[in-house]
Amino acid sequence: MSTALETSPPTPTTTPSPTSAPGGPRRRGTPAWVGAIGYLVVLAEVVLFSLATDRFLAPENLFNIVSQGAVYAIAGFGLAVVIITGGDDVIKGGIDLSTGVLAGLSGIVAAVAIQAGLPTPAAVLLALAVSALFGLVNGTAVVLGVRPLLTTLATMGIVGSVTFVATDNVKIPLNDPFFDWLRGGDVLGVPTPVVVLLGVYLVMSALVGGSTWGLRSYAVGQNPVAATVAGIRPTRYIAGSYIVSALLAGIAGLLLASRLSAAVPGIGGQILLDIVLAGFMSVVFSRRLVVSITGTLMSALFVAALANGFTLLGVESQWVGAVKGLLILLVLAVAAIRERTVRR
Amino acid sequence: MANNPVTDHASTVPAPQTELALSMRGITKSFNGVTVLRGVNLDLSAGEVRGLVGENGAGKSTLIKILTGLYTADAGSIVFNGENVTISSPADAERLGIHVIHQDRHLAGRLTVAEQLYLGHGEGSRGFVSRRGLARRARRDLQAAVGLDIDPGLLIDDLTVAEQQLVQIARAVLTRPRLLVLDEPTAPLAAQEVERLFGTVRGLAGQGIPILYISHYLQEVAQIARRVTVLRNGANAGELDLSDPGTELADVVELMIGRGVEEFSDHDQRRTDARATPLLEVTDLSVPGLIEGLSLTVRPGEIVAVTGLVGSGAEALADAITGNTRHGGTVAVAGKPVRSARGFVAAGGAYVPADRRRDGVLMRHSIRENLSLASLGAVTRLGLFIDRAADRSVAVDQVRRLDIRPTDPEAVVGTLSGGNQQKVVLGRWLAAGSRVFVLDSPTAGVDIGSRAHIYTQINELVDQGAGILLITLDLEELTGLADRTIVLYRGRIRAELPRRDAGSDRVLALAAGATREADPYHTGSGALPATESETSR
Amino acid sequence: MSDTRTAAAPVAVPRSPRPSATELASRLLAPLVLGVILLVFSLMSKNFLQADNLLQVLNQSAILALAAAAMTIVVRAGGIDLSIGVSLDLGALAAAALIADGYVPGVAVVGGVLFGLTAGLVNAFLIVVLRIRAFLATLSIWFIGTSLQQVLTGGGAPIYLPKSTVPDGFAVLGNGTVGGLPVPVLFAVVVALVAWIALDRSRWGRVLTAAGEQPSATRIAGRLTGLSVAGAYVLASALAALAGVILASRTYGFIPASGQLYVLDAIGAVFIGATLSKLGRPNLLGTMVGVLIFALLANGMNLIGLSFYWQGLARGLALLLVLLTSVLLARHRATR
Repeated sequence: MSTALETSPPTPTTTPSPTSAPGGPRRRGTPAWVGAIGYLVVLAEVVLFSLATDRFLAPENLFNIVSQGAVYAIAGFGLAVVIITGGDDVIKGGIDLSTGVLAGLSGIVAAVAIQAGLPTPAAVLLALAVSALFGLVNGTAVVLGVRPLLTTLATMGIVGSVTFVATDNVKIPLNDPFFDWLRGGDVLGVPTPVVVLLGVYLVMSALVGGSTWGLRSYAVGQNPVAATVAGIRPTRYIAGSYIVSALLAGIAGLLLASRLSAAVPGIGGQILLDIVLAGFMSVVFSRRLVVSITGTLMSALFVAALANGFTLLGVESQWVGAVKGLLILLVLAVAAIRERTVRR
Repeated sequence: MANNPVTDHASTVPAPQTELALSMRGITKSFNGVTVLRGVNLDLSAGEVRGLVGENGAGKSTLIKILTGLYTADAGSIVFNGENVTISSPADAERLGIHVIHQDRHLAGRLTVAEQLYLGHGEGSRGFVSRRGLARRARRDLQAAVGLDIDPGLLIDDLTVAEQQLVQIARAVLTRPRLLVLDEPTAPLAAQEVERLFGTVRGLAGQGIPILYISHYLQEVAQIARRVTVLRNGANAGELDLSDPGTELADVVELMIGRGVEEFSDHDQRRTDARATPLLEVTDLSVPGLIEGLSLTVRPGEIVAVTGLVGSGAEALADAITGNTRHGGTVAVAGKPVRSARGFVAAGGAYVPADRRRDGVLMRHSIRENLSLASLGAVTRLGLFIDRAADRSVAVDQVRRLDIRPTDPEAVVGTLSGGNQQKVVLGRWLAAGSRVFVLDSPTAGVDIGSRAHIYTQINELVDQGAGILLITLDLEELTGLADRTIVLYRGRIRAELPRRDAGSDRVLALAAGATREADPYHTGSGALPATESETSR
Repeated sequence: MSDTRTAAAPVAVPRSPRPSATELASRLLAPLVLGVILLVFSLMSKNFLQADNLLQVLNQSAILALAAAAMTIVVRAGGIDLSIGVSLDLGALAAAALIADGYVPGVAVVGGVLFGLTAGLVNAFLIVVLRIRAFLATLSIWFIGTSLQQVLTGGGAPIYLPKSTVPDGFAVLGNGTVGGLPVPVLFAVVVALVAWIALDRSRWGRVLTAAGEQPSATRIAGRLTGLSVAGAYVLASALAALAGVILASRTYGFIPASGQLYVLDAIGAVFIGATLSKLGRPNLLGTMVGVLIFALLANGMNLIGLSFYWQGLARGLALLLVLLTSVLLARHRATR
């Protein structure tokens, strides 16, 4: 049995043929420059800040930016997966509000475990296991039918409280060689945080952008019916996305704790907004205007650089918040325009 | 006779092999007490292209959904390639190799062609997807499977409808299907695209794949299929072999609509006052890609029906006229130009939309709340508060008038049968005292009893001077009610027929693309006139 | 017309007019939880059911009740408002600032409400006109609003109003009593009543409820859904601003970002409250039950000596359990 079909196909058309009903041909593809918008914005930011102060581009400062941005980015990757798989739907839109506090909890679990005498690898594994557990709770509740917004709101409250209860609202210092290395060490001359970020980025990028799991997750988010018809089961992907998000939040939390040399209760609430921003701003970096891992990385670094630059310039932190809010609105405007031009 | 679609097809349709690939027997299905399929049988041989035809509501979609696992039959059996099978989910159907190309293209908009092509099977090796490799494969496979040559990096959203459909078909072909169902595939296609599609279909049949071809366009069915199974009202109406020289398309139509069409009203065409201000005046209506240059009027005391097949623009007409979608051209209600849904309603218009559950009734509201939605002014005191007593009495009134069951005005509308839900929608407008009604497929999915009630109401309204624009694909309904019938074809008005000329067969023929107005029964051959595409060759 | 939508999950609507056992159980879930809390804590602490303790609970939950009433309106309209804390804070800020500058209480109250109301206007514009998702639009306003507060107070400086300088007319709002009932509680009751009338007895409420569930059907019926929904966001922020004014009176000043605490509990209370309704509709009575659940939990835990942080844990757990149970009961009903 030959693999080629034994038809003589009619003359192939290379030009778009108009539909039979009145109306002209559709436009062919979003222009490539759309994906470039995000990068141009980042470039503009870098240029502006470096012109405003020569300390911006100093290596220690860049290290600071990457170090802080890594936390947002890694947790942001998790949120990105949730948004990709959960889709844009108003009712069931994927969102994970518990990601910030999960990061905080992860650091606390590790710190408490190390203080209690557990060997570092075990402490790290424990922290990640606890994160994954909450991810499972989230995923299960969502798949059962509770709105992601409400589910993760509830777990955010629970986990946030756990962090306070476990520490009695007191910082737990983290003195451990592994975490010291995470903060200030290096791998073959490259600072560890950069290596960790790069490593996680490469893995997640390969998984989300280049694996069947990633592709199917996009499909599930964009059109669950199409996915079902294609033989994919959306519930598995949706539940899984929350576990992935929690795990990545856990990793980000370890990084954060190392950076602060302590596990700080309440830190989760502070970083949540930055993570959310990183996740949603991601769309402007993609030609398809969808959330992506690379886009999230760029957004996270952008946000970290923003706060950093403003601090260097002596601008009060309150303005940073306003800018972040405006950024989200800008992203939403872009998304809204995209909505209008695609006829569906 | 030259260009006779019936006899010409013999050379182009492959002869079916004799083994039975599919045998569905005694398929029965009910929803909420309404029987939709009654002991339906369907056979399909390997390499055969079988047409499945029937009016709207005849049960074709339900049958297909059972075949593909979206529904489960209440009774009956399916034997596929010699084995008794149970299909309880789309995954089961996929595993058996049964593929459907749906009318609603189930595609993910922001995926590339290549990604969508292989989604769910064979996207990559060992879990990883190589973009370049995928694109290369896609280009080659698209070309081979359906003769489509486009950049596989394009997003699905950016393709034309025809291209999307071909991607869908290519997708199905790549999975080496053992049965393919095409559901209204040519509705959005232009003539040359239809030809391309037919070429693909013939090729697939030539490989031994059994194909079920569902379409309202009988001319096309005749070109691609030899045998045709006709469904009517959820049961088999008959099976015809189009290669038999004694069989004509008129016979197919006859089976589809049946003899003894029940006339819900045997009145003569109503005489309307041509000088009266039209209740509805549509001038040069256009909706990009769907409708162009459409004008019609509805005068007091008449029922104007509009009909057309999938892709004719009839589905988009109601939303446009009632101000719920943007359109070019003008619409005037009782002489007043209207541009929005609110304007339409304020001028005395009423709209009973096709999607009753989403756009018609408020499913999670009570009957009472639903009934007063368009006439809140009448039950509001001081412009602010709802007068509960008045609200309730409006509800009781309409429930009685329309015989809505259950009779409790607090009953939640989502629990009502389709027919009763539709009565609630109608009641809403009756309570608002509307003068002109736009009804879009008002009795789709409605039981006989409720239908009768609704028809009675419609006739009563018209006798009292209201005007009705009835958009329907139900030929029985049309012939029973319409004073004038407008037939749409590919976005434009094909014909406007007075009552005496609007027999079901004539209407269907016009809707399916026949151009000549001549009565087919007088040409002598019994065949329907050729389509435009054939005469232009 | 083939309706492929029937392949999707069924609409969660009760199957018969007579309520089934699981439907009743589902609706009584929240009051049951409330009852359990009352029972458990009354056993664990003898002060729990004392009149003055219960009055204290009411007083302390008054602000949350107001915020939750506001949130009920928005959720009924089919949206959500994460920026309600901002409206609250802006209201408190304006009122405190106006009192500090010597204005009469009336001006402070009106000024506070108007100032806080602006957030609602912006929300309405973003959501109704630009059609941005409610969650994201109000999230951005939350960001921006928080910074705005910082800017307006010169970096987050609180405003303290020495008691002697605060006119009685203003101080009574947060601290007075009328016939034994604290004024904030009175406000909460009145606002809840008014909101209930607006949502369930007024024409606007009828349109709003319909628009919140099926906007296309409501539009087809000729109603102005956009205007109604916009009004919901504006009214909600006005109510939140009023809550802020009362808070400013009670605390004799303004502390930035104090409104944040109420947002999440308000959301939780509304959705817990929705389980009370036959159709899962957000409603004022249910919301108040939700508020009481949270308030009694906090109070009870206080009385038995559990720290503030355990309360947050209990609140989150309560919310999750109620939602999960409700959803599981619904699934059980649908598959029968």
